[in-house]
Amino acid sequence: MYISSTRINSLKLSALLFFGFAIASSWLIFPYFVQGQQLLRGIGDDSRMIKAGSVSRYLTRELIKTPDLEITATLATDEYFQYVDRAAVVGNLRPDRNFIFFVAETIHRGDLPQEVPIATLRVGEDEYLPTISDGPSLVSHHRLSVYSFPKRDADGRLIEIEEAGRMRLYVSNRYMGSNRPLTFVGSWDAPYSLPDELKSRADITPVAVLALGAGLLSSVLTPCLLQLVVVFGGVIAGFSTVPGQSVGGSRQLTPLIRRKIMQLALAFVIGFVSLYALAGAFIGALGHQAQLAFSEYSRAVAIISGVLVILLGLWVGYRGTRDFACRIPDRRAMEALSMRDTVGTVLTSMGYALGCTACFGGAIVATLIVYVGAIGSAAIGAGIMLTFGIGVAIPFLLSAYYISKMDTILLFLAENSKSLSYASMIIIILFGLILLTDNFHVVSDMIYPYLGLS
Amino acid sequence: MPMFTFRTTIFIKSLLGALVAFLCFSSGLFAQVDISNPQRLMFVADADDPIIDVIDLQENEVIFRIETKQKVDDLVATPFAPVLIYTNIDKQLVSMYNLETQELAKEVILPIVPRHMVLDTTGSKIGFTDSESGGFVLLSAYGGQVLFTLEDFPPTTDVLFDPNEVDIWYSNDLDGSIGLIDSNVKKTFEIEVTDKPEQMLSSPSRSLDGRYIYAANETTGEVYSVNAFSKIIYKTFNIGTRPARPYTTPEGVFLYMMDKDSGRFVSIEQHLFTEFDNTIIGEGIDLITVGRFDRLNLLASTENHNFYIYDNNRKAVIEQGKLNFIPLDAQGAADGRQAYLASSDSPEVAIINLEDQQVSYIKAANGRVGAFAIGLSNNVCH
Repeated sequence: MYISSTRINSLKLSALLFFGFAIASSWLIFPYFVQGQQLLRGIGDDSRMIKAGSVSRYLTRELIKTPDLEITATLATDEYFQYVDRAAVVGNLRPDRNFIFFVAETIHRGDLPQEVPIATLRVGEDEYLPTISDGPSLVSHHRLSVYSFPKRDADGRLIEIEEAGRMRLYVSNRYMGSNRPLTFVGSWDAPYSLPDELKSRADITPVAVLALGAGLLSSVLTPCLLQLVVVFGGVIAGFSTVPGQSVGGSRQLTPLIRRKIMQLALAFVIGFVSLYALAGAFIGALGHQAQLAFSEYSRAVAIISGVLVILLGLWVGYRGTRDFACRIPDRRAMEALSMRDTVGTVLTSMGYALGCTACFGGAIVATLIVYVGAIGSAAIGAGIMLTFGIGVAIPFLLSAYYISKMDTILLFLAENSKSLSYASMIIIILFGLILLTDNFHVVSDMIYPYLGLS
Repeated sequence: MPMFTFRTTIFIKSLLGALVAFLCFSSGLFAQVDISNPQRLMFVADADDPIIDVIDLQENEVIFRIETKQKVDDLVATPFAPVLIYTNIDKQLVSMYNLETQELAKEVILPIVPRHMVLDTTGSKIGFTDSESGGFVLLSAYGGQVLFTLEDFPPTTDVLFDPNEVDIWYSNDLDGSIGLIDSNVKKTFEIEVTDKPEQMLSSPSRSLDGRYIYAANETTGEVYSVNAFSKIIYKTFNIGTRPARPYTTPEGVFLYMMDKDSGRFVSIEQHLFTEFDNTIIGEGIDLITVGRFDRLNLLASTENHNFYIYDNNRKAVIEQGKLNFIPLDAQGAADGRQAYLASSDSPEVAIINLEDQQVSYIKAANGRVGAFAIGLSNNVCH
């Protein structure tokens, strides 16, 4: 479709551009509707419950399991209380100074004995009695009792459970009308600490991965990404034009620019989404070590990114001085230009996103560790950041689609290639300088207070 | 015949108008120093004189002086509203100063002596305690209303707000316990740290998510870790003979424990509770400020002039020196690039750039600093 007139209404153009900018920034609505920190905390709690279940199962022994009677005992070590929250046992239990056991009895035929079971602990050949033996006496079918054995013997010596290699808990009671106490045994072998894979494993479901991405989008990363929209605008303005056009022959260029806008937008989002996914994999694999790596290399990465972005900005300016409009029939020349523009867009996007990641990567690590409790998986890290990246990318693509449909904007791009190239150059170089000089937060901090998100 | 021609009159009038406009503009400019954004300000109260100096953190100079009615014993600034709150112990008085209008907005006389004041994580509530006679007051930081009072409350130093804004943790030396106030029901619950009373417990600290609470015991040399949900001390660290208040880093990675006698510094990675470093740095360390990415740490002491900058990546002290004074307190800038230390014996504040390890000083207060605060600090969990 060709435009019938080359006169552009500047008011209309401004309104259309503003609307395009608003669409590209529409991910900003997330923090207004989604409480990112609460979402992260909620997912963290879910993940922690899964982990708590795994830890609890690891430390629990079945003393007996029949259709009539089931007894389990859990060795509640200090690590157990590190991962498991038990509101029911609030009190002065001290797993740092005592061996704590929870004994759960369930009976399906008749009632449980009124007395709390008698428990003794054997470490090697030595037998120990509990200092706390507590549980409800008048119960029917279920009972949870707690036993505490001091970690030091009567002489004050530390009981060496690791040397003994095994500890056994004997639980006795008169079950099912028995005249004599029936005794059941549970045993735990050294080492008693939890295996590393159990402690560090990320128990996160795919749905939780999606939610974490949304949570990040709504919380820690929002201010950092404001600048990406401006860079996106600079890239579209700089690369979508066809240099060398003057007023008069612009109508024939608009279909070309229409295609290029979508192509560039796609290249731009591929650039930053892939970079964020890679960063997520890195964070996921290394955990808090990634944070230390960010602290070590963030400056160098920001400088390299800044230099790359500045060079690309200069290239946009140089590109604007070339003359391609008169070579439209030269398909190869146009394809070469288009390829260079696409590569330039991907590099600008990746360069700036790399700088962004160097800036807020540490915050991502901290957020995931603090709220989720663990990451420890490259796939999960990549999944979270991929979700996050796609959340940012969709508005960018929608914005590009909208711009590509607005003939007024297309005509403006066609007629002002040179000045737009220079303006784009200035924007891209400015943001490259922000990375280079470690002033990433300055722009965000200027804009952020006006968003009403604090 | 007229003295001036019409054109000359117009010219003179224009000149006078411009002069008046300039005078109005310039007088307004000089009189109205904007101190309405606490996030870019530091407040330094003199230990003896009733003044508070306001320092612009970008210019690093005193831009305004607030003259108060009484000597200021402690102060805090709400980060998200232009309110400065300061106390006077003798009169049990809390004053609320509007930084926007530069006027005293409200005065509240508390039923307890406000020896210690702590702003909560949202900046909307303040907890007051008295480490000598006991008592607790929760005050609205914006409205100045007393939300509730616990008169039968043990003597304690700074309380600790949980991120859920419900639990307020404290230590009880007399009973040897770590306690919490459930602010919903206004009741307390205490966990004994030993079976002996009269322990010297530090104020509690917490992990960033509030899941773990830590407190040091100078009597036994232990640091306790409490599961905040189960209310159980599940782990005890033996640090030395005189452990300082534990510190957790702003981005949530590390727990630091220091023994003031031996200079031992132990860092624990809070995710898996594995020991990250265990080294000797310097005696008396009880002030910590942490930089970006939880990497560079300023370690200083309220007992001597020494300071150290410890790097978590290298697990080593990369810079050390002596300050001009013995610090009163330390706070970190919100962006983690600079640390501020106020002097308890001279009228100045030290600025330590954690990233290039440069030390500079700002003159503030008249004789010596009594209290100081910055509008937004990264000391979030302490």
